[in-house]
Amino acid sequence: MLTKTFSQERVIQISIFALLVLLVALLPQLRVLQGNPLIFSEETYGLYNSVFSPTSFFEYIFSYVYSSSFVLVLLPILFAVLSLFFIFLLLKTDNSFNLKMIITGVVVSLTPAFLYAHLSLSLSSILLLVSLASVFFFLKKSFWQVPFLTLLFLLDFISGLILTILFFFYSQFVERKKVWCLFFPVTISTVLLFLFFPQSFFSSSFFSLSPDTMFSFFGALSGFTLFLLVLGGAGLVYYLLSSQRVHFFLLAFVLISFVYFPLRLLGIVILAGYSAVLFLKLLTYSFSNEFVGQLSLFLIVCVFLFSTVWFVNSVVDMEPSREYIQGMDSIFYNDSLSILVHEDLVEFVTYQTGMETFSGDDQADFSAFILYRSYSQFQELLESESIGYVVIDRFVLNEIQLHEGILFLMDNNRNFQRVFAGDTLFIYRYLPAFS
Amino acid sequence: MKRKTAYFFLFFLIILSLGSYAFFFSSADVIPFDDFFTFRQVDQISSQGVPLLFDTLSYQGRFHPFTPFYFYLATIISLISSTYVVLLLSLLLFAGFLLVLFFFVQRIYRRYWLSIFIVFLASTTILLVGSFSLISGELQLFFLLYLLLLFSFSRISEKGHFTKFLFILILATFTTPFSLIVILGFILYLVLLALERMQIRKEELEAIGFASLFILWYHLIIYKNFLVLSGTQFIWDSIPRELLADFFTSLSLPLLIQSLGFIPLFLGLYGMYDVLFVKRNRYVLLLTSFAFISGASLLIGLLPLYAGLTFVSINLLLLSGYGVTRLFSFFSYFSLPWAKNAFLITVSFFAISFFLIQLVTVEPPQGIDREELLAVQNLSLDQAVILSHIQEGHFLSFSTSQQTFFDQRFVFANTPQQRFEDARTVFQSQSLSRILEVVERYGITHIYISLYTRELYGQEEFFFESFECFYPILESQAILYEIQC
Repeated sequence: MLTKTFSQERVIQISIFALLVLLVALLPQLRVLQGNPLIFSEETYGLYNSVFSPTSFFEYIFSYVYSSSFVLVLLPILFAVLSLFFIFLLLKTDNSFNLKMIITGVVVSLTPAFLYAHLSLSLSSILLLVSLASVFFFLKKSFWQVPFLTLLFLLDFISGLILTILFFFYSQFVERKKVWCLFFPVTISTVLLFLFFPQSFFSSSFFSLSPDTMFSFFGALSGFTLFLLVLGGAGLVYYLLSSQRVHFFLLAFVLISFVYFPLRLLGIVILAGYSAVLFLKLLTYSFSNEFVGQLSLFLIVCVFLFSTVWFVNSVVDMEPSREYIQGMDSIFYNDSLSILVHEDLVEFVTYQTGMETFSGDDQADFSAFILYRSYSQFQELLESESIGYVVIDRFVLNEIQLHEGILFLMDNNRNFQRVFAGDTLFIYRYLPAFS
Repeated sequence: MKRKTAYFFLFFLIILSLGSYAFFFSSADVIPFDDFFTFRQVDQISSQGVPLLFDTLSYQGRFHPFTPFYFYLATIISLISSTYVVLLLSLLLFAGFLLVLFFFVQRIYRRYWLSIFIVFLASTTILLVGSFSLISGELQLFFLLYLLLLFSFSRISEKGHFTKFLFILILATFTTPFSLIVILGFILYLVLLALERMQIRKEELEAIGFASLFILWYHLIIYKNFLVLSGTQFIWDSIPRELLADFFTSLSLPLLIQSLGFIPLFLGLYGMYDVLFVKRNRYVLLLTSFAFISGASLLIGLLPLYAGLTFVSINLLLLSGYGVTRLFSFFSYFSLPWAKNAFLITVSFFAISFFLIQLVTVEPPQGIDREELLAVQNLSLDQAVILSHIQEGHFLSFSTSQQTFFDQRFVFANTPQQRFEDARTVFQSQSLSRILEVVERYGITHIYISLYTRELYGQEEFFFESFECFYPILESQAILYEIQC
């Protein structure tokens, strides 16, 4: 008898959980249905390129699993499932199933940054899982906080440090006496990292103050959405104004996650939680005008769905597409030559061709070379960097528009041979005059 | 002052202001550059029912998203007169503006004489009279809607006014992206209320929450692709640096005093000081928030120069009312009843004198002569790409139906900065090969040189004009060269 084993509440809980997992798992399949490669993030291609010389703990783990495509497809989904599971556990009060859990789960799993992180294997996805587990076990005062925090330190030292500092201050705030267990992870991981991966100790490149990398409406794939900022921000302010000082810890964490990329996803989860709470309050709130109340709730749902629909729509056709894979086949391997390519495609091109790539130097990036240099300077660069192929992709085509001169030039110059022409990808082979 | 007398004065002031406006406008006898964009949109809406979003002529073809409400309104007005559609609409908007100003001031200060005084100050502020022809039609409409929005917000607790607020909010959002500034004003208002420890009303909070989310979301839908492509640089990066530099060098204290008028500036600032440091007043705090935001928007270049000045001027005028009431209570405190009348008479005298002097001396709006328009319209061009001064882009698209090199609508435009520099190369370079390089790169077939272009570049004859392969096919006040090199 089903009722004997599972209560009706539990069945609903599991069904919703399964539905959310299905949503997360469905998105990569949509790409496959369009004929586009499943794995498309530069980060994942970067991992593939580093399997023979891992420089960080994460790359080291990856080098053990990279050969199994099945595992690589399943792992991100598994991470998503476990992350959602920990979110549910953290929000669970009095051992009962509540609406806050469902709404937070829905908001988190439909947030573009969460979907993007779990499309293919990425550091963000595993960091989210490990940090959620650390928070959960820390709050439960369980021994398991030690191994999870250690793992967090090993994956990204600064993330571990930030979380440990917050845990420490929180312990002082709630007057918890046993804080010694927080010192184990930092000690163990410091020793291990120094011994095996000293270069991955501090990854300052993860810090960014540019709003373009923080907010999804400015183009950041792992950014905060308008919904999270407005509703989550309002929820957070609401709790802060209600004099619950513990929320200052969460505010501090959210602010850090704005500028520190690896913790962004956890910041998004926190804001999603506040959004859910505020949305629940709005559902029961008595508006001064009923019509305005209904309109406001409808608007909130629209704002929430808009960013997700827009993201799904763009991610399905996002580069590298099928055309890009075909294009790479037209490049013949030559270990003495390198490929001039936009910085957003470096890892993909390296992975697909096995050749060295060049996307600019300290003085100028790829766009500057293509768009704003004279032909003689351009040719000089090709010679000095032993460039064999030039890849013009959508990023450059967007900028190129009326600098078509370069494309025209490459099409009509006998030093260049067009080896591939697609809708958004052109590949030229450079044939130096002496050859 | 009785209500009927106030209405009589209001009617009189509106007629007088419209007269001044028409005088100011007709003194130039030109069609302002911006109007041609409206003409094109009106034509498009009249024939197709939708605005021109995929513009095949501007910037040699581009996607151009914008908020279309003003152009639909202009299309309706064009049923009365298609030639004077923009002027007619401007006059209507200006009259509406003064009318709403009167009722809004009456709502806040509840004194008819004060409402009339503020309308009088508005109609003698050269910036308002002049700028309604200097700023784009969308912003003229927005300023009227802005007043209506504040008016309905001030009565939001009363029955039926919440719905009116929503209706006006939606119209304002559909009018211009500058409606985003409203959010900042409302947020600052909430902050000031909290700082002054005044109660935040439930209806106000709901209205501000809804307004913020709606305005942000609507513009996010419209400009999402643009934002994603350009990131945070979308505000300033799309505008050529030289034009931005012009903006910031034009903005000066003398210009501020001259444009805003010394009296509204003084009374408005006094009102702001009083409400922040002396006596609390809910409505005036709202106006102060918007005055701050309008000032900040102007200083950082979020609004075009004259639009920004107009926005500041409107807020200062509203605050002037508070300044006057506080000044009068000060007179009462010292038992100086005669001082009130003396103050009003003196201020009115100065306001009128200042206004009359400016009306004669201030430069009328720049634009296109009607004869020039006819001459260009009579040309028959095919597959042409015309380079002109940036302000004349819409005029040439409208009058020739040919592609133009660039114009002042920068959002989603193809490389505006690069084009601006390349156009300068054509007009200022002393090397024919460099000029021809630009001409060839963009496929430019014609160059339009007006007196305005010569004046702006400070050249009686451009370098390329001496070459035979630049063949003039139109020689009126302006010259249109066909490039035959």
